[in-house]
Amino acid sequence: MSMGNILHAVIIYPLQMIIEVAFQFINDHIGVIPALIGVSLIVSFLTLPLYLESDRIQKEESEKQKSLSAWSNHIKKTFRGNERFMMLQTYYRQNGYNPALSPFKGMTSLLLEIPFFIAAYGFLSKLELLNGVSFFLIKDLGQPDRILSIGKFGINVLPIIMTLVNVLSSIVYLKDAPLKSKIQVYGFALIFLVLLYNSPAGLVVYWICNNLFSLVKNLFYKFKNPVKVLFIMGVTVTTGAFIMLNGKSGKWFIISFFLMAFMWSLPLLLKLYNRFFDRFLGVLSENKAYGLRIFLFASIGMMLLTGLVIPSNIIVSSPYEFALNGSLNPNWYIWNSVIQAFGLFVFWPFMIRLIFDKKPKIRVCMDLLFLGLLVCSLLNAFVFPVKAGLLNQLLQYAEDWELELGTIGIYRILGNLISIAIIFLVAVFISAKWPKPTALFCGLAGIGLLGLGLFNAVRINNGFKQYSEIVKRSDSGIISSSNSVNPIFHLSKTGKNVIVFGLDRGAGFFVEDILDEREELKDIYSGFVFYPNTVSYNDYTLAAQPPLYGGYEYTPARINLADKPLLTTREEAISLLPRIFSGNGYSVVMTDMPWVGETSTSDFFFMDHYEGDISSYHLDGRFSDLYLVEHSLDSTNEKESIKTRNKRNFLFNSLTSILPYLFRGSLYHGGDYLSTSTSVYNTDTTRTLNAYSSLYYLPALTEFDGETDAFVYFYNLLPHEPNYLDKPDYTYSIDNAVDDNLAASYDATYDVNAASLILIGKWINYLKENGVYDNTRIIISADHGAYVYSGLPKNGGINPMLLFKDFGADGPIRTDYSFMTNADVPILSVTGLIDNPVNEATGKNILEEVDKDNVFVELTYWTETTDVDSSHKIQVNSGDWYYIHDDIYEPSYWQNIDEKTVYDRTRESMEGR
Amino acid sequence: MSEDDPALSESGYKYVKCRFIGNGNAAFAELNHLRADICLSTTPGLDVYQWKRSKHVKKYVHITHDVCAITAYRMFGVDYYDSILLPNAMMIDELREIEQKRKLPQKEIEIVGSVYVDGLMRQYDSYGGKEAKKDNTRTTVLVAPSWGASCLLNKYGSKFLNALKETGYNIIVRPHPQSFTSDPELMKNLQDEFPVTDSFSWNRDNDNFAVMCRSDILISDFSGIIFDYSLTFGKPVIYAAAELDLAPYDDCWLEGEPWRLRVLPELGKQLDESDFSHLKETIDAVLHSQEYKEKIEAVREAALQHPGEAATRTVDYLIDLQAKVTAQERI
Repeated sequence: MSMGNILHAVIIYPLQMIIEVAFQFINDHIGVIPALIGVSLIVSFLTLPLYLESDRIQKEESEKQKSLSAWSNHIKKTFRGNERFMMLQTYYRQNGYNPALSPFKGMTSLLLEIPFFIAAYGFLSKLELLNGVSFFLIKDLGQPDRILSIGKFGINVLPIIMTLVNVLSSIVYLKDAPLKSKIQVYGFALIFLVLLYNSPAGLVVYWICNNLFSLVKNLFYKFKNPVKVLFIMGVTVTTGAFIMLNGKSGKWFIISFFLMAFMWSLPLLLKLYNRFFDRFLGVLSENKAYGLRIFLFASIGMMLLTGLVIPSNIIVSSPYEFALNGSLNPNWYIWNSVIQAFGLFVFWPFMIRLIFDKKPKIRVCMDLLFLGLLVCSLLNAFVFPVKAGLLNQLLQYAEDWELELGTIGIYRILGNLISIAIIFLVAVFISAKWPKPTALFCGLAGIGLLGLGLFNAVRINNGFKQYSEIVKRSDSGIISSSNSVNPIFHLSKTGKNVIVFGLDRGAGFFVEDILDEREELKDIYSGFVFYPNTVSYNDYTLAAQPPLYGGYEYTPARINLADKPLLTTREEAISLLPRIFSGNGYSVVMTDMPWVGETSTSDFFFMDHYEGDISSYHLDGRFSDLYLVEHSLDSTNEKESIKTRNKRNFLFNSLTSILPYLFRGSLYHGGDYLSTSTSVYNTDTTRTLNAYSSLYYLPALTEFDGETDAFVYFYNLLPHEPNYLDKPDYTYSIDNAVDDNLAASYDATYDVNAASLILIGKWINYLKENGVYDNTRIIISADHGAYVYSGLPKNGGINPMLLFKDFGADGPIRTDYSFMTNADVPILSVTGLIDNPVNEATGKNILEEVDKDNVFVELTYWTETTDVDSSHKIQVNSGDWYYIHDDIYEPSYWQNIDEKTVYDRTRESMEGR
Repeated sequence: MSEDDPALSESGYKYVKCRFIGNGNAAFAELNHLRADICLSTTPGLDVYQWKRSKHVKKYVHITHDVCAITAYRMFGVDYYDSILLPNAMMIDELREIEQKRKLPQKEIEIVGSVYVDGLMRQYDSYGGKEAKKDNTRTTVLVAPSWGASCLLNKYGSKFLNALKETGYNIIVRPHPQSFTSDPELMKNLQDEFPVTDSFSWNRDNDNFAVMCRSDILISDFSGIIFDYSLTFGKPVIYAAAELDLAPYDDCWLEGEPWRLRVLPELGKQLDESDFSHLKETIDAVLHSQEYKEKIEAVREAALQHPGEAATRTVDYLIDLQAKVTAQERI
């Protein structure tokens, strides 16, 4: 990151954030033009106090200079060299004048105006939302207006209007000013005309509004008591709006009521604050150092919380998801969000505080607000965290309806607001009474946040390195230098092959629809049995996977009874089938199982402990580039757009987390965090491609030269990465990326499930062509289903896909409604093949552990990721246990059951065997 | 002070320790980080030039070594001292006027007399007082000007010395040591033009006491020496009307003429170029004027309070101040 970029992120970007959010919020509710006017008004109103104060500073500075000029001239004339400098310095010091700051003080307004100009210009000149929008005579707000034309020559009228308003406003402002100031101001008007002449009309409209506001402001100056007039206007406008909106849509009525109430009570609020200030805030006002310390520590704390801690907490649970297939160390996002947060919470607030340095009431108010902001943000982030399901790599929540006000409910919203109000007031009172300990608290909070964030950053770095290592290890030999795929599955033509597909999130309830849509699949999947009545023990990967890998010994109830470290149980489950098969002379290949080891990446290193012909590969993402090359697709834009999007959204996600419940949904805004970017690459199709390409190259990865029997555990994430795919074959294409959160999209989930079955179908044909279909047992399974509409009594998440084809089976696919669980997958794999399939870790025969009379499903959303070493239990909330039997589609069979009964019955059944 | 200063090897004091603090920046670094309850100094310009107030010094006290000089320092001379020890009450108003104009807090002022003049007086007495004058019937004229562009020698040079020579009196010229650095050429030319004779000599002694003692009258432009001379020895002076530029000094902040200039006509006669033609008569008139003698005595009484007690009073003040500082610390 260059110095220029850092300065931009610190100085300009925070302003752009505010402008963009305000614009998109109004645009979303009313439209583009009101948004332009609204943003102009908001920016002008927010900066008005700043400009008033900076005008005052400027005036004070020039008066000071004037009053000092006689003696400073005397000194300059009398002394030479070093002595002159020291004499001047002493004279200035005695008069409280800082010559180093003086030039800045003299042009505070201009210094303020420049970043606001750059921010607004940067935002509006590239704003795609303006394109094609017409307004009165303006055909396209995204283009220069060209309202008048002389022959072929178009004249932009808006910039001229803008300049006229500007000049008019300046005439009012500069009535009694010296010529020098006049030249300066009119010069600027001219520069603005040149700069903005060829700008999009929308940008100029924004500037006309700004200049109109400035004109009105300058007219107000002419009143005897401008603040009073402004107040009366504010009261009139808000009251008028309230009366006009009376009876209109509830939301606007409420907003206008609050605005009006605020305006009416403003004098009272100010009076109350003044009284409070005089009574309680004397200590803070006099002890400038304490106030400054509280302010700085609190603002740095805010920077660390939003820029470092919250983003790193997200990334640390799964660094590779944010690594763009290994091309980016995810700490890059954190570095960016830290700098942005520095601008937003430290640089600008500090500058504003500096401007109001001589106004103790405003200064102390800022100190208290920042202290309150920090404690309330900590409260919201850690006591009222966002609970809306898993966050994907685009920072979209899987269950984002949980952020909507309707879902949260009025009681939780009020509870949250009351807690915030209480902790805010407590913080203010404590700081007024004990400013020194308060400053210390803020400092300690900052140190704590820094420690936590750095700890996360180090872990992210390690995770990224580990991921790169895993990729490197798997890379060797899969793709040759000439871009051809080297087979890793060496199936036997004469012996026996057992292939298990684990399709993460593969949904059972889609299979019939897919087979109906693609009739030919019914023949391709010859000999297969489809089990629609299959249940998984949980609807999320972590708790749902162990039974899939390890069978009935690894259901949540039995894991919790076993009381072993979770990492151990997980490794036992994953290695169960590879160890059984390799122990029986099979060559074993495993791929891509997630949560192998301590992270979500497939860290197969632990498999090195086991003897036998076992190899493991990390395939996810290995074939993406090859696929793109072979299909002449270019993903550079997409990767860049994901980078750009996340670079922006990490901080916005943090802001969502620290907001009260009331505002979270508005800022989250369906997962785009009020971004105005309309880029088509707002969906990340990379991860879809990563998984898709692995399945696509399955035939190329398969060869029939195995000399022994073969067992393959092929894990794939395609159904886990919903995206729209090209019909009829559901092929991957970058162009299908859309600006939506697809995690919960029914159609996109269907597409990836269909693509999975179609691609596996192609591979089946390949086996058939080579005469290795009959001697191959195939199981297509999933850890859990998909969280979209399924018609199931609970949710689609507990209905995993299960299809089974045995040796020599034939005829079109048939459906079997037997009650199954995905813990049956290991059983189906070994039945009739291995005489005594013993789990070496427990010494038990897995066939004897089958227990369909005691299927206890739990529906707690559990993402324990950090201490699998020390945790012995999967967390299950009380009320989340269900007993299910015979038919998962029958609502009455889903019996809520208490925890004790679950464990008692499980223990009983184990002892009975 | 230099490294071989005899004070450094002096071991006769019980409570005084002498230390060489180095030269240039090293000395400033040492001073700027000094640790002491009180720092007593004759150096003006504290916290204006390189010498800054140390955080570890509780009080800075300035003591003048010049009878007349509190506003004669270069600008902001004593602004950053906490206390000033003055030889007389004449300068209090001037000090207060400057404080007020610069909106500075009032400094503590203590009239202690002049340690410096007390010393000269003691030396004078040990010399045998008025009797110490060399056995010489001829009148001895001491020329001791200041230095710089407007000083006596720069302005009138050989024209003045020629006029002086023509008086036939004993002439001792003692240029300011700084003249040899700032105007080496002028010095060389003058020394060439006026070689040493029986009645004309150049004096560059380290200590000016002896030469002041031996002379009957002093001709100078403005310089502290005028006060030292007339107040210590009670002898009259002739001072050149050098147009003193007050601009660099604290004096220029005062509304009226500073006391040290106001009082000059009481100590002797102002020299004009028109006097050169009858310099002998002018010198004689001043030398034998009873009026000047009386006026000098009056000024001496006003300017030198507590004669002979300055050192004791200074030490008493410092002891009191330290007790106050310590008491304040306890609070």
